[in-house]
Amino acid sequence: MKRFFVGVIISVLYCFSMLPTVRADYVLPYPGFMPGNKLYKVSRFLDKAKEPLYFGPLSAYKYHLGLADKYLVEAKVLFEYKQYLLAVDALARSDKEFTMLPRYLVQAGKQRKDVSLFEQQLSEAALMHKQILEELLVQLPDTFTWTPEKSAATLLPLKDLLQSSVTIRSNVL
Amino acid sequence: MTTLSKIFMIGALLVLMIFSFGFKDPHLELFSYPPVVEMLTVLTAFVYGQPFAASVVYGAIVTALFCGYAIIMATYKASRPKAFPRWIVSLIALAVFSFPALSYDVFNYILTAKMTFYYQENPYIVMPIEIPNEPMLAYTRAANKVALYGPSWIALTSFPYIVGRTSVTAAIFSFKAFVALFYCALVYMIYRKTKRWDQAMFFALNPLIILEGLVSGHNDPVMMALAVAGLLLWHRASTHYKVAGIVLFTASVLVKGATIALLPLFIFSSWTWEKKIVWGYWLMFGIFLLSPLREELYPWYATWWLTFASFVPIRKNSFIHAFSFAVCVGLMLGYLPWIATREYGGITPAIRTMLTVVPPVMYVLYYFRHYFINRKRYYKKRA
Repeated sequence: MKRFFVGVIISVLYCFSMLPTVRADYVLPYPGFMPGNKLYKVSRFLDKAKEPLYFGPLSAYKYHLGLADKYLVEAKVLFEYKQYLLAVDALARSDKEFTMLPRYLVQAGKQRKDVSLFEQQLSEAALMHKQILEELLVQLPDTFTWTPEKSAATLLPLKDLLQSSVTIRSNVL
Repeated sequence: MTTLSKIFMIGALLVLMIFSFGFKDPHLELFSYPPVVEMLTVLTAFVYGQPFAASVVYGAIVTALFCGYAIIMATYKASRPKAFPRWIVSLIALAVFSFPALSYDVFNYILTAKMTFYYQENPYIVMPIEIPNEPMLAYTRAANKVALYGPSWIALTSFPYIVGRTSVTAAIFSFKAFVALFYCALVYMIYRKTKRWDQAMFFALNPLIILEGLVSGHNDPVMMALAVAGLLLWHRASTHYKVAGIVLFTASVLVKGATIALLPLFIFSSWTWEKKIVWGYWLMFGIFLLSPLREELYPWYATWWLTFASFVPIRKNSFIHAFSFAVCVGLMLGYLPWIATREYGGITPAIRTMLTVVPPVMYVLYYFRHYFINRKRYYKKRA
């Protein structure tokens, strides 16, 4: 009887493990040069310079999604290294790029292009971004006062900023 | 003899024009006129349903084309025509109005042009497959790749795309006619430089050039026409011509990239034209042999070195011309196993390699045997 119950429990657990769960297969890119590196400014300049090459709404979507991902990873690394001021800036850039994405898909849709694959990709990206931001919400303090050596202190409402970023991602899901 | 060769070539191309439509993808609707649709159904049923018989027909066409070509090249001096043989125009027309049976690349060119000029997306960033409602995806190969060719090719395709934008059928023939223009430009340049029609005909009537350039509509004649025009202008004294030559050569490199190998011909300006064309031949042949490192040895890449072979003066027992002929025979026979099996895997690649390699190897063995026998005779005489 005992063996029977153990068998039933294992079977049920196995069946549950086979059920589809919400998880993102989306892979985030390597962030490239980080602030402090001599080539960081060059990398930022190249990011901007490449924009005209991405003409067309789907190309532009790919460009802005690439930057949203890159800046999010940059923000994550900077948060982990407690470089909060720089991290907040990178997160703001990622948010800005991410908010542009649905607009390009709408534009492509108006041109009678089937954007179903891109919509799916955007949902996966939003899910992955959200996952990272929620991890950071747990790890980081609610606020942080950044006090540089030679200038005035800045209060960083980390929790609010991260929450706002999560909301931006949630809006596309 | 000339009449016989004409019958061989025009007859073979006439059969090919009809037979080629049998290779049409079942998802592709070319015509709506019921009798034509009926005829195409019969042809596709033959090609897809009787692959071995189809390979026999293809083999017969290729044999007739090469026989006709060999007869013309062998008897040319005897008949000595002073003017351009006008029947070649009908030959070009037959080839242009054939279906691109042996390759789907022309559909790839059309779809890339459509991505750029219709969808207005960067074809180097967005793949055709990413727009699932695009009707051409049903029969276009390599739709899961971004643009495979350089920016000058994409810019040039705006012309045939605009002409043929009404339907796929119009687009296929406008792209093929566009390539045919560059083929004609190459034939003209060969004649203009060599002042010999046999040199021009060596290129114009070569079955590989006809099948790969005019029937399949590959863009290699475009790349080579730009490169040769660049080289000819570079040879002129005026700076304006030299600049135009560099611009055309750059445009050629930006079609496919292979002509970058011709850069030494522009750098070593002290080289004579004769030296340059022989070097051009072997440089392009080298790139042709290296091409399997990237993908595989495609028959249409032979256009690269055949162009230069056409500038090399044709003499009796000319190694370059006879060797080129043998390589072309091998490359065109290489399609046989694919048509017979309709498979890219299995034994197809092995038989294909064998059929491709045997003719040139046999010729090289024959050439060296002949060479050593002659040398022996020469030394015997001297002794």
